[in-house]
Amino acid sequence: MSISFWSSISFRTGLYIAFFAALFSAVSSYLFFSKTYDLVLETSQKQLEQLILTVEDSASVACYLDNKELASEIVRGLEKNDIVRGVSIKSQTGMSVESGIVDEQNHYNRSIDLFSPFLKDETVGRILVSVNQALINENAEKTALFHTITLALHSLLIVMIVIVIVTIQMTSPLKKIASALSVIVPGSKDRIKPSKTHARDEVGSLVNDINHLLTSVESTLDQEKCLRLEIESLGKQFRLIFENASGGIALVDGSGKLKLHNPSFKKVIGGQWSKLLIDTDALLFQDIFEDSEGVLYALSNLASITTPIELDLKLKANYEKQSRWLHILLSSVQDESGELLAECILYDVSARTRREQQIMLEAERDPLTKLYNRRAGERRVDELLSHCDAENTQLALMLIDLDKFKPINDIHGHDAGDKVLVEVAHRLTSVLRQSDVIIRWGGDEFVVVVVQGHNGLNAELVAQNILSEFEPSIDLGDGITDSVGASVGISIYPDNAGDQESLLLCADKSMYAVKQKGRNGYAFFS
Amino acid sequence: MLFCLLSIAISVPARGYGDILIVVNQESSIYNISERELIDLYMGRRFEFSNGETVLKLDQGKDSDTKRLFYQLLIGKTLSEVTAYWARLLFTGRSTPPYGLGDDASIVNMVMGNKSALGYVNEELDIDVSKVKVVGRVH
Repeated sequence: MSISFWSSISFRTGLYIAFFAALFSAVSSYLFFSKTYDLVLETSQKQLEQLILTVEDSASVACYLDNKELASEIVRGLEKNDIVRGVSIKSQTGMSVESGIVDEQNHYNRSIDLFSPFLKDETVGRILVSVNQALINENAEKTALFHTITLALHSLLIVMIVIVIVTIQMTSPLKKIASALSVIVPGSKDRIKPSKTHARDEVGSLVNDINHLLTSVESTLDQEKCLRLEIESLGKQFRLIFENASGGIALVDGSGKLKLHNPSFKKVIGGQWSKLLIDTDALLFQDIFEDSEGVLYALSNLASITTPIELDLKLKANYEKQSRWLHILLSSVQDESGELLAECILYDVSARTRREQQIMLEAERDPLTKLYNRRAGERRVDELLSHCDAENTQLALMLIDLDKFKPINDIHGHDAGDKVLVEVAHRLTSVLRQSDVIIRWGGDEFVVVVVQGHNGLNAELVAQNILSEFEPSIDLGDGITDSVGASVGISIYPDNAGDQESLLLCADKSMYAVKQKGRNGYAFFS
Repeated sequence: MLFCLLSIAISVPARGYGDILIVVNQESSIYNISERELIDLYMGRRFEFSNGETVLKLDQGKDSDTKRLFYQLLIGKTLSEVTAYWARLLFTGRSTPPYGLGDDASIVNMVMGNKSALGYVNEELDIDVSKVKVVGRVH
């Protein structure tokens, strides 16, 4: 910042001093003038008196002798003085000499009685000198003016000297400090060089203080720099962890909008999904999962998630042959603005899930027919029963016993028997709905549970369909075909029995009734 | 001494040691002359006696001790001061100093010979003043 001369300290100091100097000059000039005037007047009076004293003797003689010539000579001599305006000499005996303008009334006139030169008690005349008042005034004015001008010049000189001193002592060192300070970058090692001439005064102490300040600024900045570097390196480490984590990491807001993700996230959800979710922004986080409603529910209730929750979610099919499962660890975090975000750590657990499913399948299914084995079947039936209780619906339990199976086993061997069982299982599966349950109950016995659909139970129709599936002969290999029949006993829940065991007994009784009637038919429990 | 102090007035003729005697012609109408009149006459203010008679002022020569004593006693001035007084008036033309000639004896002779004459002699010198008239005394 440059400081104009008009706003500089030296100019303003000078201005103040000049102002007061002018004020004092004016007052003192006024006082001086009257004083000088009186003084000049007094001096003039003295001068006049001295003049008169000079001529007193001669004037006395002139009056004593009534000598007009001598008196005239004296008068002329006196008149030559500037301050004398007029002179008159008058003797007692009538002689009178007058010259110039004699104003008898002027109280500044000087007059003295003249005594005889020889007898001091005898008055012989009088001399009167009239002063030149105008001249005295002029002199007084001139003198006063001269004094005033001198005083003003004196003040001016002092003002200039003060400006110079202020400039040297204050302004220029301050300027030097300011310009030195303006080029110093805060935090650098640069300092203002202390001046030797101002080492012990205020300027020196100012420089010291500024340098102290610069030092403390430097150390503060250094500390901040260190701290920043630390944070930077910490950030780098965090970034490294984030970038290279094997799990997908993503920050998702309450509406499902993706805020942040790491490279692994893309890999975990797969190329197709990452294109839609990340590159085109067309989808929200929950949209990639089959249970999108559940995910959205979790996201919109982040505040209630105090401990991380674990979810196993299936990705929507999206052109992929194999279904994929993700294990998600979801916890809520708060960002700087206070918004709650979901921190999701995702792992692809498809392989594991598939393996688990395989194990479960192996445990539940009959290895030959891939239908539920009896143990798993009983569990499934119980589940369906409680479902009926909850929904207040009906179900039909059908016990199917193959007719003429034993002879096939005996004649064509166990392999042929197995083929018959597999074919029967296949045909049952094809004729029944997905929601119905088919169980290999044991040997050549099957249990089918038909649940109530939208159009009622229709158990009779299902039984007829099942029986019709037994009509085509079964290929047993080696060009041999044969056919089996089926006896179907049907019991209805909850109409015929209240639990699985009783229900099975009812179905069993019905099945026996069919066998006794001549096989290959169905019967309801009555 | 006591006498001296008492006899201040010249108008009372009294004998004293060292007095100056003022003399006129025996036939003069003047019998008495005051000190003031004497000063006025000798210093050029008056040109005749107070009664209107013409006067011829006689002074002594410049080396005379009597003259020195006369002016000293009359106006308290030295002879050079008296000379300066007259010099001041020299060019004005009106007042002139008295005639200065001779000593005490010749003054007496001149007063005897002129009816208007006025002169002074030193009493101490014991000049014979019986042929002139003493009208005053300066001391």
